[in-house]
Amino acid sequence: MTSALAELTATASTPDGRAFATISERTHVRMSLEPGYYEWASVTDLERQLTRLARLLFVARMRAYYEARSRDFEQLFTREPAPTTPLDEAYVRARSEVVVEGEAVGGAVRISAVGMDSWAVHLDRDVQQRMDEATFCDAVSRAATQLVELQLAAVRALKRQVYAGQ
Amino acid sequence: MSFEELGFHAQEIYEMAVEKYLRDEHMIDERDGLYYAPTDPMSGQPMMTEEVLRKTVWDTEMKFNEIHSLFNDFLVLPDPGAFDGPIQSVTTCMDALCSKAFTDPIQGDPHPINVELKAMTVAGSTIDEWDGLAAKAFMNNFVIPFEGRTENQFTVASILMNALNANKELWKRARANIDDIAHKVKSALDHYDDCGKNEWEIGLSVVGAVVAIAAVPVTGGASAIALGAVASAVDVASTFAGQIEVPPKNDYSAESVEGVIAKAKQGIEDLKTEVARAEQKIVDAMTNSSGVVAGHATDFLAPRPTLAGAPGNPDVGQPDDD
Repeated sequence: MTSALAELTATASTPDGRAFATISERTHVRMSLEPGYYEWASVTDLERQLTRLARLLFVARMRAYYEARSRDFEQLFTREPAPTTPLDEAYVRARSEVVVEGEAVGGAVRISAVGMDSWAVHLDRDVQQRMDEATFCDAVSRAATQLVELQLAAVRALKRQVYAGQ
Repeated sequence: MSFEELGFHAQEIYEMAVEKYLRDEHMIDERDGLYYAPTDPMSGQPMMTEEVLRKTVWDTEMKFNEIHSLFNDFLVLPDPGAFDGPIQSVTTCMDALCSKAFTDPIQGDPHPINVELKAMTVAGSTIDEWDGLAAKAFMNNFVIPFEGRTENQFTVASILMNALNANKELWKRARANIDDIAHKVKSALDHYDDCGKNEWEIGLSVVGAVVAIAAVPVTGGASAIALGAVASAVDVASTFAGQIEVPPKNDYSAESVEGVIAKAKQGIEDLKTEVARAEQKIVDAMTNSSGVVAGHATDFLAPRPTLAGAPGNPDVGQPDDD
């Protein structure tokens, strides 16, 4: 039987509907833009939109995660419980300091995260000259996928370090 | 998942544990049943020799080998359906013992009168013309106490039937609980490596399966006597509803493969403890009841008639011999 977590899918779009993203199979991110937006938006606009999109996708992903967790455990989960042990506190504190960065096209697209709630997207200033929309969206998707993979790997390492087999 | 697949689930849990532990601790990936050493990102070359890879995999498999036997005590549990036949047999016996309309003292269900048996309670008037010592003894020892004795036998049969019913509910819930544990261990192995806290709860419904009833009164001779009993929480009369134990929801949390497996062991031990406690309730009730019945046999069984096997006994009167 496939777990709900394995089938987790979450989607998000910016409030103005110009950027969309989907995360599936836990780490696989696909991003797309409203047709035409990439051509006329400034690099700063793109960075701002994608940063906002990253934050919204994380929120959507966590909502989908708690729904999947609730289905897998047949128990209602709506949020992360408050830390109840010193180890939990140490883990949550250390997790908030985890810094990861995903990148693509030799660093022309970089997405970074600090902890679980601070996101930033950095684009080379000439990115629109170097890539068409499809290439750009693919690059952002690969950078985001790498970011999520690195973040999960960092979390696994942190849990091993903090909980040490517990 | 279902109880019948428990052995299969144990294998799945073992494979998940080995695969995830190798990935977490040694960066060894499993694909299509084969294990691959981590590769150097610069050169693309494996970072461990084939021999080290094989030994690491072997050591990990041995580390988690006990998972195969984790569920052994629960692989073969009594089939709840197997209790239906005996329950029906004892219910038929209860119906047969109804010298008047009786009510099951544990479930509260009415059982209609057995007309044929009722005839025994009016045997005194049927043999009105018989008198003498034997006739009086027969009246006092057999006819008058008959209804009380059959009621007591009915109560004993009810205690037996309800104990079977409680046993049925116990194993039904034990199957559901061990299946739930296996299911949640698998989910915990899926979820422990996500960002949040990996905690889950297991409700051990087996705790409320068997209701202990301290005293079911029976019609006593010189003194009041009562029998210990148990009932299934599903079928017990509302009178005893307050005695149903509320199943606890045990909380578990683990953030690593080893942690999840340790909690699986703990959950299984918790279930074993509760199954044993529920079984003990049944044992205690049956021991108590059989002891009381043995100690007050004449309240449940008529004494052997003096007449029996004694032809020519001068005390035996004959009809119309006065």
